[in-house]
Amino acid sequence: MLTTAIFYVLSFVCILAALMTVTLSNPVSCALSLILCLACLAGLYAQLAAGYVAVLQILIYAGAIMVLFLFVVMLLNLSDEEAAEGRYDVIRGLKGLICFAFLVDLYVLVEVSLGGRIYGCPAPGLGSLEAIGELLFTRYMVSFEVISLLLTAAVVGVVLITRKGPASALAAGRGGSS
Amino acid sequence: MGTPIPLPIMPGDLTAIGPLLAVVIAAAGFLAVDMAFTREELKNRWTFIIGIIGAALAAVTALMLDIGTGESRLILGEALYADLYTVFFDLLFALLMGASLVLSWTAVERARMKPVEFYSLAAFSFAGMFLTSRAADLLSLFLAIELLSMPLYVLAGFATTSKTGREAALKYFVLGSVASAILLFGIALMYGGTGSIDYVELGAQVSSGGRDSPLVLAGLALILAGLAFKVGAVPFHMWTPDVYEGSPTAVTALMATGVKAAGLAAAIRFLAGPMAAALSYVSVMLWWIVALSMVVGNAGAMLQSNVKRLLAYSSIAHAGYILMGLLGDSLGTAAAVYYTAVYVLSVAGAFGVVQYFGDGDRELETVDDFNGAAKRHPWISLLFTIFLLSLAGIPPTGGFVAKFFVFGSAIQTGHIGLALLGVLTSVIGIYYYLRLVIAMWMKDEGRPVLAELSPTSWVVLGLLAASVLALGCMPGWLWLIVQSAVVSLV
Amino acid sequence: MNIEYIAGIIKAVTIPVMALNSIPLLVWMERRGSAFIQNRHGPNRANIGPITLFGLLHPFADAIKCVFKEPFRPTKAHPIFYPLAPALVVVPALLTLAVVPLADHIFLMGAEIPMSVAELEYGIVYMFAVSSISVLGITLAGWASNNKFSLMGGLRSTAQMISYELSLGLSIFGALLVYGSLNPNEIARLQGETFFGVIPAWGVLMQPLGFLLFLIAAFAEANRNPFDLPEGESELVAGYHTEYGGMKFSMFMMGEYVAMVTLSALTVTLFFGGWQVPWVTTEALQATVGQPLRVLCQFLAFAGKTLFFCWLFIWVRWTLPRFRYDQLMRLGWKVILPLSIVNVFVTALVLLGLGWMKGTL
Repeated sequence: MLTTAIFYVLSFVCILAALMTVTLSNPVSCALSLILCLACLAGLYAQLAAGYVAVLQILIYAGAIMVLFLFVVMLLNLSDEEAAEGRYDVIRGLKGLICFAFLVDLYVLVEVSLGGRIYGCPAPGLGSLEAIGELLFTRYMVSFEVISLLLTAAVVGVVLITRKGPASALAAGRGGSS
Repeated sequence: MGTPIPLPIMPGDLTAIGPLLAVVIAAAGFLAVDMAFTREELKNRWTFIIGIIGAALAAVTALMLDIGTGESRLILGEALYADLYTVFFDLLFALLMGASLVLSWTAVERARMKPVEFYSLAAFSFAGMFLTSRAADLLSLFLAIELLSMPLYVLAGFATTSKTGREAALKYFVLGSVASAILLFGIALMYGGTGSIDYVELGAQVSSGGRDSPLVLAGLALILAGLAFKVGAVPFHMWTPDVYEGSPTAVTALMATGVKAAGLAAAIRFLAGPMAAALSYVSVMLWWIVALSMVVGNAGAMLQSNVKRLLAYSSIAHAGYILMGLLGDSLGTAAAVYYTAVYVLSVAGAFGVVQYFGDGDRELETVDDFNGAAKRHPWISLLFTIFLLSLAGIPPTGGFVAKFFVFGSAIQTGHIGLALLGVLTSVIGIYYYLRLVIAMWMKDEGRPVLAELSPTSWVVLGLLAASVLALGCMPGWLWLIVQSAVVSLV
Repeated sequence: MNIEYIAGIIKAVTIPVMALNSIPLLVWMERRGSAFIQNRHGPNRANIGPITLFGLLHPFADAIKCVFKEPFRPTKAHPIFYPLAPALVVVPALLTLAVVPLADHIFLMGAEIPMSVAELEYGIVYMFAVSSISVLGITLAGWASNNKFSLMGGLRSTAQMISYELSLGLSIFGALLVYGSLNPNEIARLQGETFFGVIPAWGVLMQPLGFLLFLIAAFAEANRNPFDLPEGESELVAGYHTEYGGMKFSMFMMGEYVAMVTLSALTVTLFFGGWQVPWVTTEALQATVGQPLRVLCQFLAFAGKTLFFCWLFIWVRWTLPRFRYDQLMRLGWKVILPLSIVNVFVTALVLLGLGWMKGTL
């Protein structure tokens, strides 16, 4: 009973926050709505007996990624999205319509495919630290390692971009590549 | 502390991912070289040595794989495959890496990139390519494609100062991310519908009535869309011309060969492997993708005067031809694999040649720039002609045989209309490829400048041309290998 | 209602109250301590009649003043985020304490009750996750105030806290490898053993480098001197809380002090045996003095150690000068982070070697 109530509250806030993320005009408000949305998702994970995933969701998304988002938004000091006029023009309406159609589509898909089918409760200890650790080092070992490769590639790429950043401005005047 | 869990590494597994390890070690080597030396010549020399060693090691370890009875083996926690198919693509990518090291060097330096920086990122991309052909579940597939694309996002734009270059990089990054998101969304729907991400398990579920589940269908369609994006097939091709044109030619060469081949390797594994039952559900979608790719690609290429754009549109068309093979039976799949190999060799050669033409910082851009090339540089023009003829599908080159196989299997499995369309569009293809050939051989007013080719470049270009010709004159041996590779897929 | 629910409610109420009540105490410690260090008297005049309690009444006077101040909002400040920011700083800091064990489990009416609000298998990760939210509060405060100094302070603090959060997390990896657990109570219990029967097997002895790195990162994470650049008054007036006054300002203060308590408690749990009374295991203690006294002893041990680290925070603040911003970043990224990685690596190697020798691997 209480669990169900919590589920509906979390889902409602989650959806509301997600909507706010895409509809609000102030970038900082959008970022904060996204954080709220992610936090609610974490709550839903916790309800699905995946407490560790929930905690990681908070740690990584709300605590790290979104803070960087906010940081960049603030650093650029973005003002309200420049869409004040023409806010409700045809294209916008069309976009909204497509999104809505997609939503209905998705609902129908899920309803038709899974309606009434219940996958059952997770096995005890499924979301536990030990189970996750074991999966990471057996079934998903390759994925785990590939992600580390991916991150390394990203780091190398970022270093290259930043190293070239000031130099490329010079290079426009030839020979400035350091 | 609990009892230690053994890692799922069986004897022989590390050999089976040997090419991957070799190229990752090469990537680490490049980074070490960048740190260790300060003098540019030393950096360059060691980059080249390490790169060639890495490519050679990848090829050797690929050949060392114990294929056994020819059946697919799941390795490393059932996340990856090891079979003849992976060996085939490993060799292709290893060759590509070697060719890129030798042929793209001039273009890399011309684009004001340092070779060590370029190749350290490219090596990660190659690691992703080696993974795509062996991914055995959707997670590995997604990660492989990300690993393959991520370095290219950087490479496409980090050294450019021009507006088109920046536009290309941004376009590639944004659209690539969208494609990844679509792929991921498809994977999520698929998982939601079946509760699994393993190809084998998915295949079993799909063949036992997956049609009842629209979730699976939607997932399949989205995954196909994501892959079609990476491959550059219509209607997910919009990025291709601008990105190919705006990126440095060395990067474009990598996109046109490696990324496309890797995307195709993944798509073939996904649609013709254990999931073959799923193919019939998306065959209509695939039919349209193929037909539109052929028409739009060839028609678009016909209108281009810029060589890179021309090759971009033609690569869209080739994606269509290759995917046509998937509509057929196992022979069709083999034809697709064969076509991929021929395509990669020809395009690697064609871009290899294009990279050497140019004056100082400037590259040759339009078809007219190539006027009179044969007068001044007959040998390289001859090589270029061979590659172009292969792309156009004119005998005695590999392109003709590949097209023959693909159309043949399409006709055999009843896709006669598609085959006819393919033949018709190929005729358009001949028109625009021959325009380049005519510009080189029959006009003489221009004086295109050629950068100096090192002996190794001549050797590599010659080998590429020779293999393209060999695949056209005696296709039998590779055709047999490809067929048994495809058999091991299922 | 069974006993676990009741105990849970009691704990959920008392532990935050305890944490909140430690704030006036810490403020007093800070003021009198700084005076002591600087050879002054410090505030000692607030009184109720003749009672001054060595200045202990000052924090209460402060609290009353802050509560009765007008809640003022600058015109251009953001109407929602401006008041939200202080809450985002305080609440996570308080939530973090939920998993800190104050003593070993107690047995009451047949139930085993942990002496923390919730005993999580991954309590340490939870602490990091929740405390990472408070960065948001500070960032938001800087932005929502619509003031240049605030924005600069907010940006500085975000960059600083993100940088040092990494080091903070990585520096304890070594310790976590040694313990093989993420459960704070489990970690505290594992530190009850002794080396050679004399030296308590506290984490600080097994992970001296890890402890040092953790401590430095903790100072930065708490925005305390020598890393209090976000509010460096000589450059930024008061940093991210320039525009805040009254209760909202004191909520930032509270957040800072609670974070101090939390980090001290974390330090104690990870590196100084948590609730362990040195040389005496829970069982031995319980056998001699009985359960209530055992819990009291352990709680006092924990509180004493935590207070010591709180005092260390204050001590350092009034001893060291402030870093320059580039020095701070260089220290974080080029010294502490690499050293933490080395620490993890070496620890893993040593553990591997030990495992080999014992034949378990």
